[in-house]
Parts: sequence; structure tokens; C-alpha cells
Amino acid sequence: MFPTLSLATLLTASTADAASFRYAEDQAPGIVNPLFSTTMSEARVNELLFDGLYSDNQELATVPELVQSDELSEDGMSLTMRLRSDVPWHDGRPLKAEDVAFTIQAMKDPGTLSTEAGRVSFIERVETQGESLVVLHFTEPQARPQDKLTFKILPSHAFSGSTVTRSDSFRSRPLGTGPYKLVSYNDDNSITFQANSEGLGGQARIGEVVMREVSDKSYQAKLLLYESLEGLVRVLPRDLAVLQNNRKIELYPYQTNSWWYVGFNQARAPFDDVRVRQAMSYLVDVDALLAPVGTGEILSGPFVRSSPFYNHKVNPRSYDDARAATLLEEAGFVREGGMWSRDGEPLTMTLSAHRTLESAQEVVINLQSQLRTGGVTVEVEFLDEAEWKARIWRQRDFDLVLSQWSFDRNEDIREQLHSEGARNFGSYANPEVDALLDEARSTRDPQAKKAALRAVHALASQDSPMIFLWTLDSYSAISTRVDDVVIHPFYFFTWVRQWHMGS
Amino acid sequence: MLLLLLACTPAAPPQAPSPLDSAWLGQLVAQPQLFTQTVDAEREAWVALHANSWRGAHRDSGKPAARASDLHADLASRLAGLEAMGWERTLSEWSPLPPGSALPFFAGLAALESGGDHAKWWLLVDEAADPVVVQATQKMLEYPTLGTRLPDTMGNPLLERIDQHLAARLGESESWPSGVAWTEAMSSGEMRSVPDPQLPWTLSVVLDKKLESTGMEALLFSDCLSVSVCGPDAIAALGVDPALGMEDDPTTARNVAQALDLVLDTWARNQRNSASPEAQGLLEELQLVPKFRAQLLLSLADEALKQGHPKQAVVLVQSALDLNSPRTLGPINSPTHFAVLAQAHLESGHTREALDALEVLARSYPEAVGADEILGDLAVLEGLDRQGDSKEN
Repeated sequence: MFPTLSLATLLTASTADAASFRYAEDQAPGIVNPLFSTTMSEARVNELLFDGLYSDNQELATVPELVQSDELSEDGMSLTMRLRSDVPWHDGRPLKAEDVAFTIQAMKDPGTLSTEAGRVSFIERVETQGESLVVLHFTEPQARPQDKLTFKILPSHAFSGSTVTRSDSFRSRPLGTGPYKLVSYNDDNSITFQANSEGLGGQARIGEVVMREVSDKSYQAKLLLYESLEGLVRVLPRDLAVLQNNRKIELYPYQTNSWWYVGFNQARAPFDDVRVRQAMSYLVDVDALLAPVGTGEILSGPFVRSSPFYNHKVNPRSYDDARAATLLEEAGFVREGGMWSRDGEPLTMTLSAHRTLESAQEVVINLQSQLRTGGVTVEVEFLDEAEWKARIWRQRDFDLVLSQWSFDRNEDIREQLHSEGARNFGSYANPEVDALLDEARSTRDPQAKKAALRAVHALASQDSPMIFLWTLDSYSAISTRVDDVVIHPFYFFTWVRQWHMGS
Repeated sequence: MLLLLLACTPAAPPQAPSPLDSAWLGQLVAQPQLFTQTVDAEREAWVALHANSWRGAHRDSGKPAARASDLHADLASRLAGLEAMGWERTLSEWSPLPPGSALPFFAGLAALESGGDHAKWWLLVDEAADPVVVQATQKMLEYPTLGTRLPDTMGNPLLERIDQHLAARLGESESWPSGVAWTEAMSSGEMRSVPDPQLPWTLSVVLDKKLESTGMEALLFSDCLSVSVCGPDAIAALGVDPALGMEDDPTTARNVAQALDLVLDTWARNQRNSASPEAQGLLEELQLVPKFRAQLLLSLADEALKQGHPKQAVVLVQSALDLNSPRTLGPINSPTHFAVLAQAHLESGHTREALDALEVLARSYPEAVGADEILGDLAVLEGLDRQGDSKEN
């Protein structure tokens, strides 16, 4: 882990990499396998290593990537795709139709437990014809199925069977068709990638990319200023002004549809009681929590304020200890000696946070202090990526979590708030919200979709499955030594092939 | 700023000659008392102009208020264009349109305002629409111009609304309609509401003071070196080639911005070494150089848009923004920045990012709400067939 290394050590160690594009992540990917990606750092690495059937061009229109040509049936129930023949896997073997079929089957396989399974739920079955023809059959008519086929394709020959496990050896030897090959996992938790000479459109112009895990944001900024890195994927708002004033650094808006939250495990008492959740939200002074992190905007629901789905009629909840007390009393709690308890049991909970979530430690300590003042005892635990995925995602073994969701431009919150959502690890369930989310997904009327999701916003604010916190001013910082940089607003590296090191 | 309205003593001359020395910036450095002399009489309006706070300026008299009103009119004009573009693209993408809806009527109205093909939308208004809409559509098909008052509004609320806008533009009324122009039920039972698409057009006319002035009153806080050398011309006069090339290449735009920074940074550094404390106070407290820089970059972004280079425009406006508070209007981040940024994003295909810019405006300028809503519809339409992706952190 990085924190054991000094800045001087890093500066010395990095001078040999001057021709590389070196970028910092708060945390290294927990797993390099698109079937199990849950974090942005994993999504960014996936973009280096893998390709999809389709992708975004710089105008954000869907364009073929691994597909040569396609034809949608008249009834919209099937799509026939011919794959490119000039894109081999990193090991030199040809891309085949069976790879596409395998990827979809692996995502759908219940035994795989893929976090991406929802992305292929509209595909009923896959048929292959020869080595390069794939026919997808859909569950219902599709107008533009290509828009949904942007997930990454995996090599069937690297796996045995469609049931893939997280511990599969693929994670240590990932194989893709993308612009970079993974060369090595290094002792300092960095990862080295080398340009794939046989990638789409030829070799990427930067020969080597190095991902460095640097959990301390201040260190990240210093490393960039000292030219020991070429890129930071996310800069803390408090560092923006310093970096903006440095003429050797360019800032790029990035990952702007992100918001922080404190989530409740509603499968556990007392968080199954809406009054307790609301009371907790009234005990939190969000302005005070945000201040040390920097500038951002406080939110009242599960969208950023510029979203077409944000309900501006719903105000963020303000600190109100009297209202919290009323709610807790209604829920059967009494306050004795300044602390709340019910049936003799003190109101105590554990707050889990990512070890490397930017500035999480400051937020957690302040949150703990605020709730203690409000009569609630909060224990804190910081989890590494593997523990987080096991405890929070799979076992759902937590009371409260502090985390951040990032969304692409579709801002689809169904996975987070639908009772069947794969990312709903807080077990939130409201039939009215489910119905509205279903309507939002099925309607062709954009204003009806906006109305449905604004209604979800209002209900989510009322139900408080989470305390919605804030969105931060979110920028990437790239050295001016790197030219032709265009960043995808969500996946970051989508157009990395054109980047190059300038003079 | 008010602290700076004290008498100031002349400064020592700058160390290196620069076109900025003879421009309003250099004049203020050499003679800081000029600032006091200029702003003393209309201090409040100058403070508002410096802060890029233009709302309500048209009600005040004087040069700074008139300049703010002109800037507000320009903003309204940009928002009107964005909204018209939003109507055209949204309804073109939206298929099938909801039966019986008034949406084509408003798309036609927006097209008529912007000189587009209004009739194609009005012909889509079907018989199932509200009789008020059908009648207004038929009448507007007879009078496809908005240069004069409507001869007969027939008691139709939509036509009366249009006529009230026209009266305000012709100076026959001092008020004009705003807010929601129409509501109707959607099939889901929710109400669909349409912000008045004519509001920004009307504001662009009634707020335009067509100010003509010279001297410091005309130049203070502007992107000009002199009355006739502004924007890209000023950049060229500073020795930086503002040419953006034939391609929409962001790197070219970045290079121009970096070259401009070099010139302005050098000049600012020289002033720190040689200017009087009063002059340095002016430069620092009023952020005069960053503000000037931001406006020059904004003018270049505008030029990029005119050349059909929206990606370059995005780069230039982003470079101009004050990232101490990137979602707040202020001395450096003017409303025009966000309007240009929204247009640049929209024209480069990044509709959702355009909403980030418009939301900042909609908080302070109600006339931005229409563009925000219709482009929000477009962003939703563009994503209808996608399945969103989300990740932690």
C-alpha cells in the first residue's frame, strides 16, 4: 500500500517512467474482470483492457467497436451482428462469435453472480453462426439495442464454462482486445499496461500506462505538481484552485454525476423503521460535514442538481434535533444521560466506510461526533476493497455505510432503489417506488420519465433509505505534456488511443 | 471593492512595454484614482457589473446599468437560441409525439421566433388537442410573423400571451408574461407543463439598451483593449495568434489559451514588482487580470462556436471558469460563460453536460428554465434505449 512510502521515495522511483502516462487512483482495482466491476477504478482499467460490441464516439453517439456491421430485424426482436475480423485477443487468438455468446451467458448465469447481470436482462438468448456472426434475440422489441451493447466482451478460451467466479485466475491474467495489455501487477500496488500493437485502429500512441495507487489526495496533487504523475482522475475541490493556477496542468470536468450518501441497512432493526432513519438524517449537519472536503452542492435526493430528474421542490433536510427527538420517541426510544435507548438497549451502530474513499476519514469522524452529540453511539470501521465487496455487497453485513455512487449520463438509479436492484444492498423496498422506476424504464415520453423519477426523488427523500449528502465539484487533472486528451465523462479512457505525449 | 474607492496615488511605470499598458488595465495601474473617478457616481451599479449580477439592471439609469442590461439582453438572446434548438431537436427525436398534445404548437412558436420552419410543427397539432391550442395554431398559421401585434387574439389565452410579448417588444407595455405557458395531462396522469418559450426572446429585445459610449465607462471590466479592439482582436493585439485552425481540435484551443496565459501572467508579474500598492490592491481585490483573461477566453469560445468548433469552445470556456466556485456566478464566472458552455456542449453532442451549465443559470435567471427543461427532455430521449451504468466512488 502506498501510505508506507514517502513522497521522496515515490519521486525517486518514478523518474524512469518519463515516457509513460502515469495516473493516480485512490485505490487499485479490487478485481480486473468486467463481470464483477463495482468501482470506478475498475471501470477505468476495463476501458484500457477491453472493448465492447459498441462504444461511444466523442459526440456520445453509439458506434460499432467490435462489430463490423449489424441488422435489426423488422420486428425489433433480434439483432444480427458480424464481428470484425481484424481484432485479435491480446494473446493473438482471433475474436470469435462464441466469445460474445460466452460473455452474455456468463453475465446471465445465476452462478456467476455478476454485478452486471442487469445489463443483459433484455437478451433472451444468443445464437452464433460460424465464427463471426452473432444473433441476439430479445425479450421484447428493441428500437436501438446497440445502445445497450456497450458492456465489455471477454475471451471464452480464458474460462471453462459460463459460470465464472470472482476468484477465477482471469483476474490476475486478464485478456482483452483493448488498447492496452496488462503487463504486471507491481509490488507497490501499481499496475503497468503496455500498448496493444494489434488493437482497434492500430497501436495507441502512448506506449505505456501506469496506474498508481495513491490513497492520499494531497500526495496525488503533489506528485502531479512535481511531474511524477501525468494524471489524477479526481481532484478534491480544495485542491482545484492550486492546480488551476499551475500552467503545466489542465483540468477536465469528469464524473460529475456522483453523489455521496450514508446508507442504512433496512433489513436490520432499528433501520427498518423509517422514523429512525429520518431521525438520523435530522441529526446530521450536512453543511458542517462538507466544509472540510471543499465546495459541493448538498442534495435532497438520488440525483445531482443539474439532472433532469432532480426534484427541486424537495429541499435538503436541515439539522433539527428537536424533530429527531420526536421521531425517536415515536419509535419507542428514550433519552437518558444524553444517549438514546430502547428497551434498555442503547442506540448504537457501526458505520462502515471504504478505507480509501476520498476524505472519508474526515467525514466519518465528524459524522461520528455529530451523532454522539445527538445521543447516538457510532462505531467506525474502515474496510479495504475485498472486505467491502464481501461484507457490504454480498453478505449485507453492516448497519450504516458511507459511500459514493457515480452514474453515467443516463442516471439510472433503478439498481440502487428498486427492491430487485443489484446495487440495493441496503434492502430498500417501496412498491410505489418500484412501480415508478418500472414506468420510468418503459415509457417513451421523456417528460413522463422525468415526472416518474422526480416522484421517486420525493419518495426517497421521505423514506430516507439513505441520507443524501452532496455532489462535489469533480475534475480530472492532466499534465500539459499529454496532448489530444479527451476524457469520457464516465469511463475516462474511452478515447485514450488518440492521447499522446507532447514535447 | 468599496475600500478601493479611496483616493489613490499614481503608480510607477511597468517594467516591460505591453499593449495592456495603454489599455484600461494599464491606465488604472498608472492612475488608480481613475477608478474612483469612474465608479464614484454609480457605485452600486458598478459593483453589480463587476460581480456579473445583471438582473434588474435595466431598471436603473447610468452607463454601468445600461452595460449590465445589454449583457443581460445578450444572455437572453443566447438562451432563446438554445431553447429554440432544444425544441427543434427534442421534437424531432420524440417519436411518436403524445397525441393531442400542445407540444407541436410551442415547437412551432420557438421555430417562428428563431426563423426556423414553424409550419412543419403547427401542421402536427392534431384535432385531438385542446380547442384553445387548435384555434391558436390555426390563427398563427395565418400570421407567420412576430414583427407586429396580433390583429385579433379572439380571447384565446395562448394568442393573448403571444400578443403581450409583442406589446412589450414594441414598447407598448412595460410588462410581459413569464413562467408556465401551458399545462396538460400526460397519459400517466402527471401534469406536463411548458415554460414560456417566448420569454427569453422578449427579454433579448426589451433589455437591449444599444449602449454607445467611450472612455473608461465603456471599457472598465470589459474584454477590450480599446473601444474598437475587443475579444479575439484584443488577443491578437497582445501578440497571441487567436487562430483556431480549420479543425475542431481542442489542443489548438488549449495552446492559444496557454499562450495568452503567458502574456497575461508576465504582465501581472511585472505589475506586482512595479505598481503602486494602490494599483496592486485594485488588481488583486477586483481580480482584474483573471477577469479580463476569462472574458478574452469567452470571446474566443464564442468565435469557436461561430466557426463550428464546439469542442474548442468547451475547452476555452472551461479554461476561463474560476474553479474556486465552478458552479457559482461571480466576477469571473459570468452568466454568459454558462450559456456559451451549454451551447458548446449541446453542439458537441454532450447534451447532459449542457444541463450542468444551464442549471447554474436557471437558479438566478428564470428565462433559462425553458432551455433547461427542453434540453433535459432531449437528454432523456437520447438515453431512452440505454441501460445506465453506475459504480461506487
